[in-house]
Amino acid sequence: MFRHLFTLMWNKRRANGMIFLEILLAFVVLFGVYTFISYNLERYRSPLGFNYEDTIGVRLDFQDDMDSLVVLETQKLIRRDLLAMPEVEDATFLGDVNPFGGSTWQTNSLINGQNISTQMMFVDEHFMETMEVDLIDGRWYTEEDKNAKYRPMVVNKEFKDRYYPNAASIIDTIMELGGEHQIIGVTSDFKYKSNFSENYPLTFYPQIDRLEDDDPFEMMILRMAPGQKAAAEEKIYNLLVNYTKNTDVVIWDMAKDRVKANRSIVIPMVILIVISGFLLINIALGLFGVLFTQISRRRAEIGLRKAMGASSGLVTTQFVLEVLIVAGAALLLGVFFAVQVPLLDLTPIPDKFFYWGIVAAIVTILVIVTVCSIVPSRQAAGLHPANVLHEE
Amino acid sequence: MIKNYFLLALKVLKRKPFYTFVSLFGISFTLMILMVLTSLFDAILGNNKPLTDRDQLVIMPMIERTRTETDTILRIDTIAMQGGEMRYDTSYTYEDDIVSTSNGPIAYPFLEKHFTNLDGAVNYAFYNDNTHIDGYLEGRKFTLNSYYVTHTYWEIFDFNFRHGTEFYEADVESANQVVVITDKAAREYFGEVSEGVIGQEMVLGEKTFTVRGIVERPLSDSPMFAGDIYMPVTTTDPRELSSTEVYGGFGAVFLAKSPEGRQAIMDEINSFAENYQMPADSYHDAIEMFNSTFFEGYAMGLLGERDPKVATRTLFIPIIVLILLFVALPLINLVNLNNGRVQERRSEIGVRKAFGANSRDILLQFIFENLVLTAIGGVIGMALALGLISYVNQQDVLGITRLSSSPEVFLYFLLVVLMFGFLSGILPAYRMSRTNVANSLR
Repeated sequence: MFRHLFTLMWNKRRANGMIFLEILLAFVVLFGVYTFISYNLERYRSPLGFNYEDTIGVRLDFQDDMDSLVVLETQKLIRRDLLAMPEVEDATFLGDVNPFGGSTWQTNSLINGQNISTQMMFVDEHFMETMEVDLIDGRWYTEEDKNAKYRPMVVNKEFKDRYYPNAASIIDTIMELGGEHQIIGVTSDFKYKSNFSENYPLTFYPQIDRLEDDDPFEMMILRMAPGQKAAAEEKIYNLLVNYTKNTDVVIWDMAKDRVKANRSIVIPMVILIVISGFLLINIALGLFGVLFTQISRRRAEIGLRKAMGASSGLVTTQFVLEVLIVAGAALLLGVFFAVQVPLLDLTPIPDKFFYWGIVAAIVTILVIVTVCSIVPSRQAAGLHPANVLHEE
Repeated sequence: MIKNYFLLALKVLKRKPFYTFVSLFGISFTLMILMVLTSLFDAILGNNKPLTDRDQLVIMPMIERTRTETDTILRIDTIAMQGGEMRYDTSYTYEDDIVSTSNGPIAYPFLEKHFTNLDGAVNYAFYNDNTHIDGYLEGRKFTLNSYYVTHTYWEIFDFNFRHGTEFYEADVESANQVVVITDKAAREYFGEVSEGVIGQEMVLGEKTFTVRGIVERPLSDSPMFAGDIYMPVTTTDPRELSSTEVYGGFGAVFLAKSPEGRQAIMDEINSFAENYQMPADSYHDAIEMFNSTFFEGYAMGLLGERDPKVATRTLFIPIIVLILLFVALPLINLVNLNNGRVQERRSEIGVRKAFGANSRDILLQFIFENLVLTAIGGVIGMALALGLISYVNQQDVLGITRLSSSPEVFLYFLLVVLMFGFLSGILPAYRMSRTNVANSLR
């Protein structure tokens, strides 16, 4: 039966050319869209590792002529006064790189023959409680670590998984990474750029690493009592202007920053989903229409087959299979092109997402084609041979 | 004749409502997408004000400092021999290795000293785009994105002034505290956009500025003019003005005589950077000045890619391919539908031909009918697109960027509608026009 159908379709190749082309292009579009979506959803699934709700970010500017001891003292006073406010639950100082802020600081080092590349964040000893970060091993640094023999650093889970996957623990490891440091803690998954950013090795350094470059922490994150974000802003602003003698104080809402940071992926994704959704409806309706005319032109043939004893089911199967053969041929060609992308390593995206994209696109197209061909076929198969043959 | 065709076309469309609906759905949706995309591209990349001289600009937003050290590179080659034995080849080489790079905006005095008279540039402007000013007005918070700019900034970017004027060379020289604000900032701070705002005072930080002019907010969110308020460069932080470093907070933009003149400016900048001698006490030992044309700069900024050519390729080629695919699919769909529709009218064509119509008449009739269909779809699509554009602009869905609905967009749109109708009609019409009279009248 299959061979017979193949011959049938091959003989009508000119009439089917357009359907073939349409399905091929639809496959290419869907393949791209699914790959893009699955790749980004996978990234979205890896957790941020901190709680941005009810937090605000603050940027302030210490006078350049203040020496580092004065800055440290001022930071302590600021924190004390902020914590005294009923609206503020916790506060932490951090360096130039802030969550959702868009900047990156990265360093590479060759350590024991292994090239270690890590993003860097500079945060103080209160960061863990304020941002509600989970530790899976070791501890966060404290005030006392300033006087320790080695400067402390904390790394995220990805750092350990990527570079020391077999070690039971990397606590107390000393390495020359942005200066000589001792790993004292490992956080659970932590990424700070956006929900869609890559889960990348990350290292937290204390303020002392920045102080020697005369670059004290000039950013803060405050955890507010629920619902108090907006109300306390002006008070905080005035307090900080007072302490720094400088009106360069900027306050922002971390939750809004997250939405902004996600926007560069969310907007293209929504656009792609909406457009391809409409394209699919469009294709389905079009296919439906075309098949309807094509099949109704073959009424005589159907009548003849039924008169010779074919059941309605058999007639339906024939038409559906005919269309599926055309679709299958188009998909085969499409897959041939699509697999070149992962095989030739044309993009840095891992291969598995392309295979997911291919499978999802094939399934979608087969479902649409089947649905669109069943309805006209069944209607045609329901014809009574006497009527149809009579017309002829 | 045309009227006849027109009436006939409408009759035909009415006869098969399902096909008409499917065709119209495809056409109007596709055209809506195309129009919104055109409008988006026009807003971001078009040469609208203040970017009238878009194709003559060279942008230099950043400087990169590098330190190169000669380092011992240890290389261990592992070779698995037959029989499972491993062999190791160890080698040491001395190679120049860039051990540290750091990039960011440029210092104002450095720009002032080296980039005010490039041979190829007709004009230049420097701008500082990295500051926000927060403040409170009767308990209400406002956040303004502030730019410190040279007076030439207003010559290169032809902002649309709604009220008042720009500030001039004399204002910059004597560091007058004057400010040019966007209509959005005026509404936020003063609650109105009117002539009355000119001359009023704004308290920004510890200083008080007098409003000199109000400009229309640009459609695009290019980092060159994403500000809410613009102040003379001399009123910026004194530390910035007396900096002896190469890095600071400023970017530069140069105007070439003609689009071809841009290459000369870029070559000049590159050759300057190559020959620049860093001060002996500096940790870094070489610099590179990022420079690009407007389009390249846009692609680089969006992708975070260094090489202008690569950035342009990786951004624009996928977009173009995607758009082509998105247009091709509905087009093929329409051709398919038209094929079916035309098939059903074989006998009509047979009769017309028997009465003396030639193939060209038939061809024209079908193309015309198809154009009527696309035109209807175009009107629906345009209505949808306008609705979508105004929604996007009202809600600020895209952040600062707003979609444009300028006459150019409509013109492109009209062209697209005609093309669409023509392309989707020509193949079926051609096939049909060659119908054999005898066969179709059988």
